[in-house]
Amino acid sequence: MADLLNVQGLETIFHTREGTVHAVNGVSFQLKEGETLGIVGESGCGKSVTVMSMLGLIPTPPGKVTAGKAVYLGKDLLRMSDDEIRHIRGSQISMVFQDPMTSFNPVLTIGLQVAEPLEIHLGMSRKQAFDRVAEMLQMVGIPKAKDRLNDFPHQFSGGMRQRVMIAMALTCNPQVLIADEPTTALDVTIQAQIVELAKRLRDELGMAMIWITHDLGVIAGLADRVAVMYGGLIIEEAVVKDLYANPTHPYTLGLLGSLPRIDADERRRLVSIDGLPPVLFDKPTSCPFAPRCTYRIDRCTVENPSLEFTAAGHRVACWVDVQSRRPRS
Amino acid sequence: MTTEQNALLRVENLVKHFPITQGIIFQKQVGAVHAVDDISFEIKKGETLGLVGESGCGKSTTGRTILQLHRPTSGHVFFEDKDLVTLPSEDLRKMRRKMQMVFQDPYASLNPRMTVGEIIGEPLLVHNVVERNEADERVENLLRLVGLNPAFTNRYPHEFSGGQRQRIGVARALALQPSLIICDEPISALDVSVQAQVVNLLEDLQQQFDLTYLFIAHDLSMVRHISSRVAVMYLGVIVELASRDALYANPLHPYTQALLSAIPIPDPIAEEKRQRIILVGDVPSPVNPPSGCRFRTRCSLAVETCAETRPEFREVSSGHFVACHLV
Repeated sequence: MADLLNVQGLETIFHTREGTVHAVNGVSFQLKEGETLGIVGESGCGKSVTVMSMLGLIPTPPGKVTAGKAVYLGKDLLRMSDDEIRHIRGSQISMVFQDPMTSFNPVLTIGLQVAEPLEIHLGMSRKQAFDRVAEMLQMVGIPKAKDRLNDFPHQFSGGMRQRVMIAMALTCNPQVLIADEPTTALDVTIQAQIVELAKRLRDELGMAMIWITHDLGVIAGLADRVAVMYGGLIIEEAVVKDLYANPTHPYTLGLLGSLPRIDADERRRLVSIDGLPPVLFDKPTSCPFAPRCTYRIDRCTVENPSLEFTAAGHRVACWVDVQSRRPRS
Repeated sequence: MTTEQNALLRVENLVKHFPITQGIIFQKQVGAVHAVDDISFEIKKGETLGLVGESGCGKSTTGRTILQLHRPTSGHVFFEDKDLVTLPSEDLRKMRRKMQMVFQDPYASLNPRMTVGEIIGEPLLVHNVVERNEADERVENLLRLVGLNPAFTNRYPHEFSGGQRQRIGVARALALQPSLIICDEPISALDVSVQAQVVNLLEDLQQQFDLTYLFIAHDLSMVRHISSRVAVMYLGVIVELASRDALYANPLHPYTQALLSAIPIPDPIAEEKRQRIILVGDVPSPVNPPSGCRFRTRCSLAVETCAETRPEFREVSSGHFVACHLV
C-alpha cells in the first residue's frame, strides 16, 4: 500500500538556559494507509517531539525544526503555511494527548469543544455539529451521550475524558490518528477499555495510527510495526512480531529484559540497564546508547551507526551483531 | 483470621473514613470518604506482601494508616504484638524507628533545601541513634549501600535523576535499621529501564538485612516479581489475598481475574491468543460505595445476594482468602 506519511531526516532543537538540547536528531519513518505504527521509548527520547514537529506544534522559540521533511499525500507538512497546516491538523491528521485532565478547556462544555473541529473544518452549523457529536460520543461508549453535551470536563472521569478526547480527534474522519501516550495516566482496567476502543475504531474507520508509548506491553497487542527511539533517534524498527522475537539492538534487548512478565513461568532477576538516558546538549556524534551498552566496541564511541536493514522489514542502528557479539560486516 | 506467631504486622478490621464537611466556621460533617473499610491481613517476618489495586482504591491510605500517619477510624494495627492505635505517642515514636516508608514521588518527598547528607542523617539525629559526628560516616555507608557515590553527601536533591532520588529515599528509610518498610509505589514515577534498577536494589537489601516489605503498587507484573503474597484491593476492601503463585495462576475473585487479563504482555504472539475480560464503567465513588459487594456494579456475574450482603472475607483453601459470594 502507498505511503500516507513519509518523514525524512527530521531534526528538532530547543534553546534552553543550559544550552541547546538536540531532542530529535534525524528521524525517518513511513506510515502506510491503515497501518498502526508504535513509537516506543523512555521519557526524553524525543518520541513526542517527533510527532509534534511533524504537525508544526513545537513552540518557536524555544523550539525549532531545523531539518527534514514530512510528506503527507505529496505535500511537505513542514513547508506549509500556518493556514494550510491548520486545515490538516484536526481534520486529516488529528491527535490524542496524554493527559485527559489537562487537555480540555475546563470552562467550556464538552459539546462545544468536540463540535469545534466540525464547525471549523467542515463548516457545520452548531445544531448539525451537536447531532454529530452526540453520535461520536455514543460511538466511543459514553452512556446517555445526548444528555452529556452540556457537561463540563470535570464531570467526567479520566477514562471517560480520554474517550471524549478520542471522539474529538475522530470527528472529521481523519486519515491518521496520532495518540501520544493516551493510556499512561489511566488505570489498567481503563487502559484495556481504551486500547480495545482504539482497535475497534481503527478497524471500522480504516485509519492509520501512530501510537506513542513507553509501554512495550500495550504496543505488542496493537501495532503492526514498532519503532524504538533513544536519544532522539530511531535505533530499531521492525514488524511487531519480529521485534519481540528477534530484538537486535542492545537497548531493545535491555528494555525487554527489564520488564517482569505476568505470564512468565519463573521468577528471574530483572536485567537492569545501568546508567541514565542522555540529555543531548550536543548532537550525538557517537552512538547515544554507547555509555550504557554492554556490547560496546571501540567504534561505538567515535561513530554513530545509521539505521540499516538487517533482514526484510527490520532496521537497526548498531555496529555490533548482538547474537555473535562481533562487529557487523 | 488465624493468628500466627511469626506475624510481624497484623492488621485487624482497619477502617479509615475521611470526613466531608460543609460550612466555613461551623463545620458539620455531611458524609465520609470510605477510603479503607474493614480490612484485615498480616505480614510475616521477612516476606513481601504486595498490595495492588487501581488509583483511589485505598492502598496508599492503608500504608499510611498502618504507620499511624493517618489515625484509623477504628480497628487495630499490631506491630510486634503491640497495638499501635492505642500506644501512647512517646512509645509510638520509638516504634516508628522500626517501620519506615519509601514514598511514590521522588521529586516531592525530598526536601529541596536539604543536602543528601542532611536528608539521610536526619532520622539518625531525631531518634538520637548516633552522635552528630558519627552521623556522617553512617550516611556515607548508607549511600554506598544503595549504590550512590558517598561523595554526594553535600549535593542537593535537584542534582539527581529520579532513580537516584528514589535511592536516596531508600537510604533514608534504611537509616534507622527498620524491620518493616512500606514502599508506596516506589517505582511508578520512574522510567522502565530505571525501575528494574530500583527493584533489584530493594530485593538485594531485603536479603542482606532480612527486611519485611509492604509493597504497594498498581503494576501487577512488578508486584508478581517482587512479592511472596499478594492482596488485591478494590474500593477500600481487600477482595482477594493469596500466595503469589496461587493468585496469579488461579485468581478466584472476578475483579482479580479482570485485572490480570487487562495487563498487557510484551509479546505480540501471546497477546493474540489472549481472551480479555473488559470491565465496563468506572470505579464508583468511595463517598457512596455500592451496598453489599463493592464490585457488583462492574461484575458480569453479579446476582441478587451481591447487592444485599457484603461477602465475607474467608479462606477457601490454605492461605487463599477471597471475598465473593460466588466462590
